[in-house]
Amino acid sequence: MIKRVLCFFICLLLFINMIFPVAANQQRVYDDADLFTVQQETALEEKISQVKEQAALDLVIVTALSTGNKDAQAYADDFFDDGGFGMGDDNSGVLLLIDMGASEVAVSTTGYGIRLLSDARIDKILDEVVEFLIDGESALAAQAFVERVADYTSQDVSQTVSHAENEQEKTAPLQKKKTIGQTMAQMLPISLLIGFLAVGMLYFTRGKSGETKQRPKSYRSYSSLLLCRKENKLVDKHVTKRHLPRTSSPSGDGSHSSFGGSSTHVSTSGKTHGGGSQSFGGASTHMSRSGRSHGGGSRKF
Amino acid sequence: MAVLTYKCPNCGAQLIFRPESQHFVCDYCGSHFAQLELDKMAPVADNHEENKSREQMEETVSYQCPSCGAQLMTTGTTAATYCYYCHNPVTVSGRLSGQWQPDAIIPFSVSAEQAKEKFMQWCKRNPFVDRRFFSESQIEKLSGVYFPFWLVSGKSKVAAEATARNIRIWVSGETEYTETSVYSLIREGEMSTRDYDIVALNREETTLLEGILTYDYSQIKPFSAAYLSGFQAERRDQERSDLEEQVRNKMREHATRLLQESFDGFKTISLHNCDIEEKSTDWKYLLLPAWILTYQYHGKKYFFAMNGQNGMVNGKLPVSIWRMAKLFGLVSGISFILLTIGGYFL
Repeated sequence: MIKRVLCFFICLLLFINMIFPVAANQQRVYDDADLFTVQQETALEEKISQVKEQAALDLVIVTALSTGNKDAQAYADDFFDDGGFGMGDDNSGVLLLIDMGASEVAVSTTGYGIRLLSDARIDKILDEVVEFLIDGESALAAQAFVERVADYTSQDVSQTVSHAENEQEKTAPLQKKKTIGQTMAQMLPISLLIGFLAVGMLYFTRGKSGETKQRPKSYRSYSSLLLCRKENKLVDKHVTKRHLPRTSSPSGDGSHSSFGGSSTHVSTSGKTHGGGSQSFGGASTHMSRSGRSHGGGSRKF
Repeated sequence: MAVLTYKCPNCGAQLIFRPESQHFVCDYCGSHFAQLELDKMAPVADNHEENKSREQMEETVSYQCPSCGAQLMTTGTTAATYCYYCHNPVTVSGRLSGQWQPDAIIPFSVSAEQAKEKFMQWCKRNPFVDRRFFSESQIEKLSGVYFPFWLVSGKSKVAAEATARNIRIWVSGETEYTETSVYSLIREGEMSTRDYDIVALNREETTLLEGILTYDYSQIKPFSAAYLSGFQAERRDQERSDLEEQVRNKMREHATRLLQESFDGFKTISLHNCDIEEKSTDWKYLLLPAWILTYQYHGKKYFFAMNGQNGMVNGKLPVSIWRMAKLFGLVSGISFILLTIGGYFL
């Protein structure tokens, strides 16, 4: 009994571990469109790690030949979320996506990135990046992005430091307490459900020890039949015919309409960057597929 | 009527039947006897004064223990019991001789210890049973009883007529064809029934015995009262005439089922007539071993029965809501703690 319960919990823990993989990836430049040389990539990586150390802000550069059926902004948001990037509790970071397929550039910001890069600043960065890209200087475009962000962080250094300090001292325990409460609230119904299922399963497999009034032996084990006469005589056979009218079935054609069309991604919204009236100091945000909020914008070139 | 005790030929103490060795054992001098040896010895009848009267037959009857002289209370059907004071096994002679003499017996193969162990296992299988329920004091009440049964064997002539229809449908071009074949079926034969067992005691707990009827009748032994020593035994209160109708219905049911099986390969069957004629029946009266336990829980009566030959179990366990709630709380609580820790750090 106890062994079984233990086994159950071990399986449960393994399952949870599989859902939340641990990200220990250090790569920050993903050159899927092959725009950079190896030297350029290492240079960018180095610069990015400097910014990370100084400003507690993660930078990611992605180039792509196609974004599938997502728009550039959504692709950028999802790339950031799925890659497990970002620093600190709010996953602070900025991602630059250069989509060569649709000739589009997108910037996605999270956490401190949203506060640092207002819509106006994102516009400026995009202007600069697009200018380089039109000239075919993609390496310079990426470099310009990193430098521009680095510039903004150094201008904002006082805030950055306090932000970093807060991160470690004050806000950290405060936020932890909050998340414990949140996780507890989340896990309570799940654990009640587990308890209910476990007790229910036990009851139906072992708990219902009702007595049987039925004999365990069937009539076959008591009685046997020995036939001395067994006749199956065919006495009548007749065939009836029925004409089947040929009809076209409209149902077959109609069902086609339900296919296709509805394969949209629910929360891939907002590549617009119009309103500056948000409380984040003029950075408009939107939710990505995984439910995190991102800032940023995109531009065709 | 008198009460009987089998005495050890070596020391004179009471002999008790041991299911493990299938031998008779004297607890005092350690002597062992097989059934054959014992048959040569006559049981010692203690012709103490009997408090018997015709009216009392069906009621409670009291006897004097041949060993210590204490009063033994028995019901009208008790055939063997033991003295509550000195545990001396006692057989009520009149209840097992003459018309009450069983034709055969299956001795106990499951000993008291094995029965207790099996009962515990059975209880523990159910996680919702109140722990008090399988306490030592409860298990002490487990008693080995020989119950009266009728064993019916017989042959019947069976004849049946039926009409069967098979339908085949196929489509060719724009026409659907339906072919109907009608068959006339005739069956004649003989059904033999062997060892149909039926309880010959009408009591609340005996209905439970139907659920453990997996006795192996090849192990049957000629009756000897010596097997009863150390166990309780009941005399039948259901005569052959009381049960004949029930058995006949059962035979008819078996016959119709077997006939239906012989009509295989047909889709729709309508049975016109089905004649079942009893040719010969043989009724045997025998005693079959069972371990039983009766208990009360929250005002409800529960019965437990175990086949004394092979250990098969039937019965109902009281489910404790409180234990259910405790288990629910435990599982939910542990998952909650683990999930919270897991969800927070991962």
